[in-house]
Amino acid sequence: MLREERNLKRLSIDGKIIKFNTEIDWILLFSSLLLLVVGLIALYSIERIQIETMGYSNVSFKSQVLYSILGIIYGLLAYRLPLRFLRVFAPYFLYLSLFLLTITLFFGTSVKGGVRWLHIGGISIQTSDIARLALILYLSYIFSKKQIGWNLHSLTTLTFICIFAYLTLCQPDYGSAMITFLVGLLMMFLSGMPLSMFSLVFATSTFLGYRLIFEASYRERRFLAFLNPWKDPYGDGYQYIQALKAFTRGGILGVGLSMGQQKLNVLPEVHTDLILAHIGEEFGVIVTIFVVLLYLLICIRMFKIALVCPFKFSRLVVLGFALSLTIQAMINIGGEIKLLPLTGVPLPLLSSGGTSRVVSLFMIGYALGVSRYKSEALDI
Amino acid sequence: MDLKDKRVTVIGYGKTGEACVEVLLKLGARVKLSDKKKDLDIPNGVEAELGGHTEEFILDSDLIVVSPGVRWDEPILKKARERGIEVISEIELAYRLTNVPIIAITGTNGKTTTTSLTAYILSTEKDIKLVGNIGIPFVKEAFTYKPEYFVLEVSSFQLQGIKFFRPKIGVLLNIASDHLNWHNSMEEYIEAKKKLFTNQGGEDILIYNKDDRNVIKAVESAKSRKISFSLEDTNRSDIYIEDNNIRFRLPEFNQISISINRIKLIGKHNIANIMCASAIGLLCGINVVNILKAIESFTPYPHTLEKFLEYNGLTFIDDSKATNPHATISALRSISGNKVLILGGQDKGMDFAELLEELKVSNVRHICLIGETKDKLKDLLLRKGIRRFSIHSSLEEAVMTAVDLAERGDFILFSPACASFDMFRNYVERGEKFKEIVYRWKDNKI
Repeated sequence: MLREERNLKRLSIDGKIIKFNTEIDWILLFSSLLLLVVGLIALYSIERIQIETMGYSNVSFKSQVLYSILGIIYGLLAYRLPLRFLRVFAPYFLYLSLFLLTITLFFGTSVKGGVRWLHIGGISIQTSDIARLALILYLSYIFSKKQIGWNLHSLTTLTFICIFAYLTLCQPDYGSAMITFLVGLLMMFLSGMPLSMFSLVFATSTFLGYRLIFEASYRERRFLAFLNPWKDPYGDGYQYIQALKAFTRGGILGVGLSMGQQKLNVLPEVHTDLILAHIGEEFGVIVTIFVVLLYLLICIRMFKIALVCPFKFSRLVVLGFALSLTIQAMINIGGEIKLLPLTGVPLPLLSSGGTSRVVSLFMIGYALGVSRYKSEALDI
Repeated sequence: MDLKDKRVTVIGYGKTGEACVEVLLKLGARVKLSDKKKDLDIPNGVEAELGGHTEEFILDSDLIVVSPGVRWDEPILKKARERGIEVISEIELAYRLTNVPIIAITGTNGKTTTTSLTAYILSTEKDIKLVGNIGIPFVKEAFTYKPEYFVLEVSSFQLQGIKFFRPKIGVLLNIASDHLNWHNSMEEYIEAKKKLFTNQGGEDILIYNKDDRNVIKAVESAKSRKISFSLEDTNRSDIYIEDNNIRFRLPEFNQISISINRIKLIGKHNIANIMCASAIGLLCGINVVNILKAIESFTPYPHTLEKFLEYNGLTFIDDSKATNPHATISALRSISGNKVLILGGQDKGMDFAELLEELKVSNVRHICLIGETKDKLKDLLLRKGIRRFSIHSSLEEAVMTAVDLAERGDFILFSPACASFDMFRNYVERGEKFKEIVYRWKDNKI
């Protein structure tokens, strides 16, 4: 009984004024668009200098613009949809994404040792991003109806989270798997998971996660390189050192657009994993901090939208989206400034990558749609 | 009954009084009328006294017909009785005008539902007329028509004024202490209810509620064939419930079982009402199949506790007709499950005290406030320490929030307890709007 009361309080709209059709969250809209533009400028700079110096580029500015437009269309769609619409399809979407995730392991395209993309009709999809979206929708669908506790549906849901994380891990994509698992677990916690259950799952998964690092030799080497990159500065420690160097070269104001060195393939994966280092080099620390602050702003706004949303399902969805974007950004930025190990997670809205771009814009579009519905406390 | 040129005084000129006057005039009586109200339209040929009752006027008559709403212990009526003048109620007058068998239903609660359901069942095969308290004065119908049965809803008040009234089938649903403001004591109230069967003989039937102690005590003296019904006692009552079927422990019907799985009526008390109505149907020779069809398709009244949709484990109830707190209280009491209540409308300066007490004890998960009264209700709820409410600027918002907060098995109850004129033309429009929003929600359009 006590538990239920606490949950009610946490997600309660009791004694509130409900408002529909209020203004959308302009701050969220503008900060997202600003990030999108900054990201495209950075990608443009990378493409231009790579083609000039090497004759080819591993990033296509044009396709990223197209993906951004596609993402904005999806975002508009998410904004326009009736809030309940996603809820109806959540279970089917989950099964579809489970299917996609599974066939990726068999029919996916292999890029640099990882099987992460699925080619369907000329476009390639990073299925782990779709899967995370589907999982968030499904968790919201379940927990907007049912109480979490030591019961069958909670354990089933937890199993689903584990299956999704495991399939992502098989690609292998350790970073994405970790994010999927963390988002799922935190969503369960925020919808009222008992502390005992959370602690148990968290402790077990931390232990397992740590052990998994040493299961694959390349992961182990990367992890050891993170602990001391200067031990092997031209081998495994290379990326960490070059990223830090890029920030140092950039200084306060940066070396200027297309003047950075690391895109001469000095820094591999600069367009995805290390895009912030590139921005740090070319635009300097002020712009870098500004970008980080934009992420912070987006996260705060999304959490705020979730908190005042009067509807359980939409509240959980926005919460899940906010967690997903926040954790992705944190893990990526943490890796680039050597606070965390590098995991190959793209920075949402900035990094090159079609699926990530479309999914992130869809998430923000939905949050903007939900931001029109508010519950306000009475002044008593 | 010969009333030609008799001096008949009708006291009270409401809907019933009007019907009495009309019939009495046609019977050739010298009709007199006395009412406390002043501003009334009196038909030709009626001698009227308005603005009060005087002794000279009323005592100068051979028969006095009293309308509902006039107290029986008015000194003037006492005096009339002392003088030997016959004082009767409208149903007694009607009874004397007809020889059609009467099915009379009384009780404190549920009589309107039972009466209309009985009429609905009987009308599948018989020519019947629905009359009485339900809004159709018995006297006029009794004078005009000769159906196979009259189905009569009768109040204890009307029963007080009977003399020979003898229904073929009488139903006593329950006796609760609700109308004590009309009756001086519980004893007097029970005595009034007993008049339902005082004139009944062995060939008449009395159906009574075995779960009600007052009823059991009252029917002890009945001489009629007694048939009991009970929701609790499955072993010894004549009509009982077994596995969601109505069963009969009566020699002629013991093979019959009537399923109540698909009924639209809500609440436990309505099962009892269905038991009575289907028993009457059988006693009148209605085919079981027709009874089953009737109880499954019966909806009491549009916008009165109307269950119109079950979707996603939620049950939607339109009680838009609830334009006062009392109606909402009875709606809350008739639904036993968890409820999300949509409340509020135009302020008529009503007293919500009782409703707030009820809200405190009934299983209301959440209250969505709308309309003019929302701020007043908000203050009242807070003062009572109830915080499980939210305030909305439109009915659509309220519905969307209600369906979101409700959990499987809950009832979404639209019972505003206020008038509808702040946002709608009338309660019908309000109810229709509610249904439209719910259906749009169901179709994923909002």
